[in-house]
Amino acid sequence: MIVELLRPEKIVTGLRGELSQALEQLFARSSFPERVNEFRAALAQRNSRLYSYVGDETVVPHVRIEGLPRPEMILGLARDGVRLDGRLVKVLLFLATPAEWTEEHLQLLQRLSSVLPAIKDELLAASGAGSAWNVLAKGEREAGKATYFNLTQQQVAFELQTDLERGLDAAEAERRLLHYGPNVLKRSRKTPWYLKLLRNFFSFFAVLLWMAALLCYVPGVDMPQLGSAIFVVVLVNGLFAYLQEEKSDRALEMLQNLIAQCCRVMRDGLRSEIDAATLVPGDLIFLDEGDRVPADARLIEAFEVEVDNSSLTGEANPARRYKSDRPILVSGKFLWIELPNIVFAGTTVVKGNARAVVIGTGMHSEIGKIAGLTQAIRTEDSPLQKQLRGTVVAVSALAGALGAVFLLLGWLVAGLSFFEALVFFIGLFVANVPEGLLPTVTLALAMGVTRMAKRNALVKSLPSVETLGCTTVICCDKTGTLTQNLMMVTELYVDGKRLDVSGVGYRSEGEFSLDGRPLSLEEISRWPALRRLLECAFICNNARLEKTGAADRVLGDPTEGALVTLAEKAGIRGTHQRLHLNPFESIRKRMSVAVQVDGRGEKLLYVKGAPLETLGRCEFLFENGAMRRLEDGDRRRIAAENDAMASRGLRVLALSYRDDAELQNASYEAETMERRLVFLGLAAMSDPVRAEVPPAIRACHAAGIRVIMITGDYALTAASIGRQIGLGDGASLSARSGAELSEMDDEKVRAILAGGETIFARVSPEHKLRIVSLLREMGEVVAVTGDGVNDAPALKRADIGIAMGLRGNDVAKEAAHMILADDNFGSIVAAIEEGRAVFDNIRRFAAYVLNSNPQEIYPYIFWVLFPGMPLAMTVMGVLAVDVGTDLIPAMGLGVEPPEKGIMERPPRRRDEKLLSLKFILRSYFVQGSLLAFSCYATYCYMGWLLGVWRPGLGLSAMPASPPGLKLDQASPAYLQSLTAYFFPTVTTQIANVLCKRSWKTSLFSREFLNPLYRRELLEKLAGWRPRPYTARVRIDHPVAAVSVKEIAKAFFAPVSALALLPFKLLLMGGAKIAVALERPVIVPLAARLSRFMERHPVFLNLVSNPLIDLGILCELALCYLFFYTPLARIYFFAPVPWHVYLFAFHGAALLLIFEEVKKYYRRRGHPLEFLG
Amino acid sequence: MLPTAAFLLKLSKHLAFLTSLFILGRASGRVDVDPLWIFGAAALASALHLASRAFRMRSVRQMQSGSATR
Repeated sequence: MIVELLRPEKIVTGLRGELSQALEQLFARSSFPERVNEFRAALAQRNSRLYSYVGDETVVPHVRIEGLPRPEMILGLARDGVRLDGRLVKVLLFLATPAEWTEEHLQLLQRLSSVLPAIKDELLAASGAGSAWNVLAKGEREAGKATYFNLTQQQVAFELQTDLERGLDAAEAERRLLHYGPNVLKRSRKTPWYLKLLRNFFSFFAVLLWMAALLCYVPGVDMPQLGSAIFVVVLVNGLFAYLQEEKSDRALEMLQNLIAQCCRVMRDGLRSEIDAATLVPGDLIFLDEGDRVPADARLIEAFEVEVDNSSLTGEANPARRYKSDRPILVSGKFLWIELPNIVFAGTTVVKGNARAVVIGTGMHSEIGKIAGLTQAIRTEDSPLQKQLRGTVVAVSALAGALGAVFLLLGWLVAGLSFFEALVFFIGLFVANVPEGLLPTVTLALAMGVTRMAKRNALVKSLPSVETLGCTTVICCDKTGTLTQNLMMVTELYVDGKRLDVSGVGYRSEGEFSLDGRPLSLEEISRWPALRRLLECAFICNNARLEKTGAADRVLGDPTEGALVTLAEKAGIRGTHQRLHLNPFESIRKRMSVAVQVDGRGEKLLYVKGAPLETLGRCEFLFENGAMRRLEDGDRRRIAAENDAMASRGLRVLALSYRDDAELQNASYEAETMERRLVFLGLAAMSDPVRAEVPPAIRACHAAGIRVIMITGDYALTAASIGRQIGLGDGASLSARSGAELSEMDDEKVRAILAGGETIFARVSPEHKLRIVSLLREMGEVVAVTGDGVNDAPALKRADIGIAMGLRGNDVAKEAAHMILADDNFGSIVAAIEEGRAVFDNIRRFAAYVLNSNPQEIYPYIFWVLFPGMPLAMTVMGVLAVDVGTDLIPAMGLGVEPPEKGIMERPPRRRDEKLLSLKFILRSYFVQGSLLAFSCYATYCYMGWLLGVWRPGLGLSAMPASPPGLKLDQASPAYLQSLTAYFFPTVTTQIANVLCKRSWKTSLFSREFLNPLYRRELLEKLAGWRPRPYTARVRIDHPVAAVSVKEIAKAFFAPVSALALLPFKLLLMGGAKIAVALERPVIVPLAARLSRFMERHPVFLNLVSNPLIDLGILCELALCYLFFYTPLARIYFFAPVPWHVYLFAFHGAALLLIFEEVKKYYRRRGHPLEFLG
Repeated sequence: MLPTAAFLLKLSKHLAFLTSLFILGRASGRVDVDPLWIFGAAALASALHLASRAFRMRSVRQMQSGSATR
C-alpha cells in the first residue's frame, strides 16, 4: 500500500532545520509542482500539526486536495532531526490525497501511523534513498497488510472536516455531493445503445432478410412493394431484438441493490431521512437493527451492534462491531474490512443500533472498489468459442472461394447461364458452410448444463461447460467446500491429561475416552476439573442447538455450537442465572460470562478465549480437584500442548473460571473481571472433512488436475486438512501464508505454482486474484471457488469462477460462471467430467455434421464438370438436409453421458483443435465418400427401375435436369431420382449417429453403456407406471382486466382452453385406460421388457438415448412430409416405390460394419485415425 | 428450452434463406409463389427468430433465478 505510492526518487535524506524548511525540501520532489502552493496553503489553513505527529519522532503532515489526480507521498529522513513545536522529528512523510478519496486517506493514515514508528530506526540507518525504500518495503510486508493504528474520533472528524454532534451543514453536503459524486456504483463502459441497435440490424439473420429485400429492387425482379414490406420486417425484428437484449444485463444492478436506498442522517443538527445516493463523506448516519449500511462508516456510538458481512466477505456468522476510540496500534494482522469499529456499505445491521460517520461512498467504498475491480476485468471468449468462430469463418471462406471458382468455371467454361452458375454457387456454399454447427454446439452445451444441474453444478454461461473440460488447476477454499463447515470438539486437555471426544457434527451423541478407554457419565461427573470445564463450555456460550428432524442445527457461532454439543455429550445442563456478558472482541480475543449458579449465592465468572491470551490472564490452575498457583513450568506445558494441537490443524480454545472473594464486589468491566483466572483446560476442535472429498481429489489426480487450497484460515489447520484429503498425493505439504506471498516476486510465486499442489493460508482477496492471474499467465486453465463479494474479482478473472450456492452471496454468484448447489468439492469434479463429455460430444456431432456434406457437394461437382450429367441434388434438397437431418440427431449426441474412462486421461489442451484440417478432410473424404457412394447407388437403382440406367452406363443416362434448372418443369422421373438420392442421405446419417455415440465401444456390446446408467435405465423401465391425468379446463376467466396483456389473456384463455379441450379429454381417457390396465398388463409387461433389455443389451443400447431415437423418427417423418405432401412442390421431390426406400438402407448397414471394424481395432490399441 | 431456441433459430434462418430463393425463383420464372406467401415466410422467419431469442433469454434467467433460490 505504501510502497506502491512511494518511489525511491521521492525519498529525501539529510533534512535539517525547522519543519517548514524540511517540508520545502520535500515539495521540491513533488510530482505536482504546480500544486505545491495548494499543499502549503492547506497545511497552514487546517493547522494539521495537531494530528501530524504519530509518535516516536515521526510526523506525517497530510492534506486532501481537490482535483489532485492521484495520491502524493514524499518521505524525508533527518538523522539530526528537524524541529517541530519544541521537539525533534527524524522521520517526516508528506501525504496528499485527492479530496474525494476520504476512505483511502484514513486507511493510509492508519497504516502509516502503524508502520513508520516501527521501522524508524532502520530507516534512519539506511545509507540512501534506495535502501530506505527497501526498508520501507520490508517493514510494510512484515507488518502484514492488515496492521493499522486506530485513529481517534476527533482525528477522523478533523480529517473529514465534520462535526460529530451536528453533522455536516446542508450547504457543505451539497458541495461535497457535487465534488465527490453520488453514493452509487458507476456502470462500466458499455457498448453504446446505437451500436447495439446496429448490431441487431446487421446480424446474420437480418442480413439474410436484407438480401431478400434488396433482391426485390433488382431490375428484372421488380417487386418493390414486397421489398418494402420485408424491409419493415427487418426493422421491426432488429428493434425487438435490441429491446430483448437491453433487458439481459443485470450484473451491476445486483451490486447496486446491496446499497441501501435511503438512510437516516444528521445534518445541521437535525435528523432526517434522505436518499442514500446523496450521502457524502463526513455525514453522520444512524443505523438500526435491520438497516442496510448505506456507505462505509466509522462507528461513533454503538450499542450491541452485530453486522452481517456475508455480502462482503462470505462469512455467514454475524460479526460484532463496536465503538473503539483509543489511539492504539491494533494488534494482529487485520484486513481493513475486519476492523471492529468500521461498518461497510452493502452489509446489514442484524442487531443493535449505532451512530457513525461516513468515511467512503460510491466507488470509494469497499464494495465500490470491488465493483471497479470486477468491471475492469474483461470477459474473454472461451477456447471453444474462439475455435468455433475461427472454424466457421475458415470453412465459410473456403466454401465461398470454392463456390466462386465453380461459378466462374460453370459460367465461362461449362456454358451455364449466369443464373444457373449462381444457383450452383449457392448450393455449394450452403452445403459447405457449417452453419448448423454453432446452434448444435449451443445445444450440446445446454444439455451439459442440464446434466450438471442434476449433479448440483449450475452453469450460468454455456461456454463455461467446455472450459470445465480442460481445467488443469482447481483453486479451492477450505471451509464448507472441502470441509463440512461445522465445528466439533475432538480433543480435550484437562488435569494434565488428553481426552478424545467422538461424535458426528452437532449431534449430542458421543463419548469421551482417556487413553482409548471410554469414560462413563458417572466417571465424568466425578472428575471435578472435567466437569468444571464442561460447565464453562456450556455456560460461557451464546449458541444453542436446535433439533431439525434427524439432524441438529446450531443457532449462533459454530465454534460455540461445538462447545454446547460437547457439554451435552456429557449430559451437562447449566442451572445458572446469567448476570453479565462481556462479548468476544477481536482485540481481547476472549469472552466472559458472570453467572450465579443455583444453590450458591456467589458470583462465578467463566472465561473462554484464545489459549495464550487467556493463559496470560490466569494465575491459578485447577488440578486434581484443587486449585493451585500456576507456575512457569505449567505455562510452558500448556503452551506446548496448545502448539501440538494447533499443529494437527485443530482450533484450540482455553477455558478458565474465577470465583474468588474479590470478584464478588468487582465491577462488570472486562478488564476488571477477566484477571486472576483459574485455568481449566483446552478444548480442540476441527471442521471435519467432507466424506466425498478424498475420492474426488484422487479422481482429480487421475484426471491430471492439480488442486491448490487457498484459504483465509490458519496455515497449520489448512495443512492438516490438506493431508487428510490427500492433497499432494502423499508428498509433504506446507502452507504458505499471505504475508509470505506478499514478500515474493512473481517469479517465485510462479515457481511455487509450477511445483505441484500447494496450500496458501491467511490470504486476502488480492492474493487470491494474484495467484489466479499468475496461473492463467502460466497457461493453466483455472477453476476458482469463492463465496463473498471480495472473491468476485478472482471469480471473474478465473477461466471458471465457481460460487457457493449455499454460502455464497449474490454478487459472487453473479461474477461466477458456475454455482455449486451443495457447496461440495465433489460436485466440481463431477462437473469437470461432464465438461469433458460435452467436448467429446461436440466433436462427435461435428464429425456427424461434416460427414453429410460430401453427399451434398458431389452432385454439383459432377454436374459442372461433366456436361450432360443431371444434378442429383438441388439447392432445396441441400436445405432440406440442413434443416431436417442435422439438428435433432445431433441433439441426441449432445446428451450422451460421459464415456467410460473419461477421467483417466489428461486434460485437453486449451489450444487443442476441435476441427483440425486433417479431421475435416477425413470426415469429407473417408466417411463422407462412403456415404455419398451409397446415395449414388440408390440413385442408380432408381434409374434402373425407371429403365434409363443399367450397369455399364454412366450417370449421364439418368433422367435429365430440366433446361435452365426450371424445376417446376422437371419430369416426374427426374423428381423421383432426386428423392432416390436424397433418402440415403437420411438413412446413412441414421447409422452415422448411432456409430458416433462411442469412440471405441461396440454398439452391440454390454459395455456400451456405463453400468450405473444401464442399471438406472433398467430400473426406470421396470418401475414405469402410467400417471393419472386430470384435464384442468377453465373457461370462466375473470374479465376485470386492467392491462392490455391481461385483457388479451382474458380473451384468449377461454378460446385456447376450448380449442385444447378435445385433446385434453383424449389424454384423460387414454390415461384412465392406462391406469386401469396398470396391474394386469403394464406392470408385468414393464418387468418383462426390463428383463429382456438386460439379456439383450443391443436393444437397450439402441433405446438408451431417446433424443437420438426421436431424431431418427423426425428425420423419417420429415422425409414423408417432403415426399408425400404439398411440401414436395417446394422442395421438388416425388414418391418412389417402397423397395427403393428399403434399398437406401444398404448404406446404413455398410457404415455400421465399417465403424464396428474400426472400433474393434481401436479397442486393440490401433487408433486408425486416418479412417476418421 | 435452450434446444427449442436453437431449433427455432435454425428454422428462422432456413426460412429467411428460402425467402431469397423464392424471390429469385419467381423472378426467373422457375417457381410460381405468390408475393404474399413470400412476405409470410419472411414474417414467420422474423417471428421465429425473436421467439428463439426469447426462449434463450428466458432459460438464462431461469438458470439465474434457480441459483438464487438455491
